[in-house]
Amino acid sequence: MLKDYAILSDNLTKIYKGKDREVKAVDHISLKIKRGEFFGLLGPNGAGKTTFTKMLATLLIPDEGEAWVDGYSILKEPIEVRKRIGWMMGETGGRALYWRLSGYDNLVFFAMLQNVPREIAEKRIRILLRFLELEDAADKLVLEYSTGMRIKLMLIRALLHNPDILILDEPTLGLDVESAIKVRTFLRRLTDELGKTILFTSHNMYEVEQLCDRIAIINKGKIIFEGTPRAIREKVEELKVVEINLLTDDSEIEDILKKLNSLPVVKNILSHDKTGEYFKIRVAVEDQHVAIPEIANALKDNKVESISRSLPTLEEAFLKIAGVKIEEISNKRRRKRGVH
Amino acid sequence: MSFEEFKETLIKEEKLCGFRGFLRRAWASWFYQMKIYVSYRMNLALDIIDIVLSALIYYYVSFLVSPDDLVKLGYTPDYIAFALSGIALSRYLWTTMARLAHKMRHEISAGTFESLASVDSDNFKSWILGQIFYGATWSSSTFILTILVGYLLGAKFTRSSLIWIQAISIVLLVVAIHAAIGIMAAGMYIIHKQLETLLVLMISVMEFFGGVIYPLALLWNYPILYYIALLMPFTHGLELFRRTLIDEKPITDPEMLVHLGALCAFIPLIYVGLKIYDYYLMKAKRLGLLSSY
Repeated sequence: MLKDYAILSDNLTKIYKGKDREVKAVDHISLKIKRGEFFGLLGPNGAGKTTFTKMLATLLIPDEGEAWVDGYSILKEPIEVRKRIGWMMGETGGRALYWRLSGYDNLVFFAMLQNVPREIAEKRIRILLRFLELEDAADKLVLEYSTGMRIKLMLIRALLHNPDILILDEPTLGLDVESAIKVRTFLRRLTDELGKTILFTSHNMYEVEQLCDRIAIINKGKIIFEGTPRAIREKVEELKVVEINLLTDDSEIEDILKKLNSLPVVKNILSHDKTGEYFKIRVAVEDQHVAIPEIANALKDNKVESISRSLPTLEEAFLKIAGVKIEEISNKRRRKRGVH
Repeated sequence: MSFEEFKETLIKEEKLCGFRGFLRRAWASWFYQMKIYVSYRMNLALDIIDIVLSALIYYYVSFLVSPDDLVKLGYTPDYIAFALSGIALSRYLWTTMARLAHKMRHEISAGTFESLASVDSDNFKSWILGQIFYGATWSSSTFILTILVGYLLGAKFTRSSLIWIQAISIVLLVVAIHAAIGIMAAGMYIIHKQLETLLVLMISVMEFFGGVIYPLALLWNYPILYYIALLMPFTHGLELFRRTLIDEKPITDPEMLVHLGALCAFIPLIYVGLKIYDYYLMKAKRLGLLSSY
């Protein structure tokens, strides 16, 4: 039973005790992650993602519950667990390297700590450095590296001992677009072609949708949803979205948003983005068929390019499931942009 | 590079395990620490200047000390040899007791401690051994340099290789016992961050009572201080070392055996130190303090 799953957690709980109050960072989380699965853990800041992954990596001891990684107990067999996992922290993980050593030396050092024979480690390091385009910087001190380069180095570090399970905490945060694409493709191939299991935390809805076989949403330490990215969208099918694209200049934006807010068919404005002359607005409505002609009528004096039905994005679905009121987000965004 | 090339490197290799693996990890901990230290070139230069300057200071102080007074207290009249042997050994006191906690502070605040914990396969024992060995390497370099400067300034240290072997064995015992205190302190430091200051105070007290630059016999006039001094392992280690290096006393000498017995009484600290370290490491994992400074 335990060996059937790469990761199995049973009521895992972590409470941080402060002087005045206790914070339940992880609240009785039970998860089953199959071998070879790419599993995404989503959640807002402070939801408990990092605490949960650190417990699995045996860097934190739970207050309650138990978990097994590759069949080994994180409480009773932590050394066996560590031998079988590759752990990395994303952007802040750059701190987890020795800045006064070169990138290459950092990797050899960690390979030695993980008992990888020198010859194999060196070959693996050279190939991965080349693949992630760090070969030219290999002999430079890590303090000269950019954040993105450090993240790539951390990823290589996590792979050095060829673990079957990777626990990656926001591995693409801080990477430039091109590098992020490369890393995502690489990670996906690790599961598809090598059967590695990846537990992956992220804020980026797009990459979670692209990469993950299954996801769990964590909020305030609890799992509030578990399923495929498609299932999460279906769960929020009642969220009807209309997307409006128009050509406009900045002076008209406030007026357009006011018009939309005043329409009874519009429940709220989910998001709005202006790129150049193009302005995209996404609104939640009761009934798309009724709303679209009314919106078109209200905006008849504006240069509307298109008005169409749309599926909720994973981010919108996530916000709905996580219980964050979309109105609040929308209002916050508007306030931030000076729209009242 | 193709993904295929990467796949080729993923053969299930025979991992180094057992004692060989342990030694290799300890070696890595020592070697890369040396590399980090050498990367701070200015520090390296200042350390060397410090050694030469402190030897010179005591060379000039030796002109103020009456050789007759030293003889009355049971030592040879060579004050420069007396002071430099004390200074040479006290270098080990700092590196064995304070350095590990200091290193821990650096690792925790830099964020690398958590990274080390994520790959730890022996509750940090190989890493600790490497770090102690690094501290001892540094101390031994300063020890050798101090003794060499002493020879150049006319200090009369033994030239018998057999006596030198005895002296080195005493140094190893001093290192092991004080490293145990260092391991204990480093473990406690993970939770109690203010401990490093206390440790510095404790070492200064040990150095003072141990008689690094004055004869222990001077404390006979202050019995309480004298007995406090005897409670410290360093006092016995230094007496053994000095009597060996300057007076060429064999370890079988009754006075030497008393000090050796007293020093050996501290050997169980090595076991206690490792246990305390394990306890605090687990406590830090429970409290989530591996990366909080």
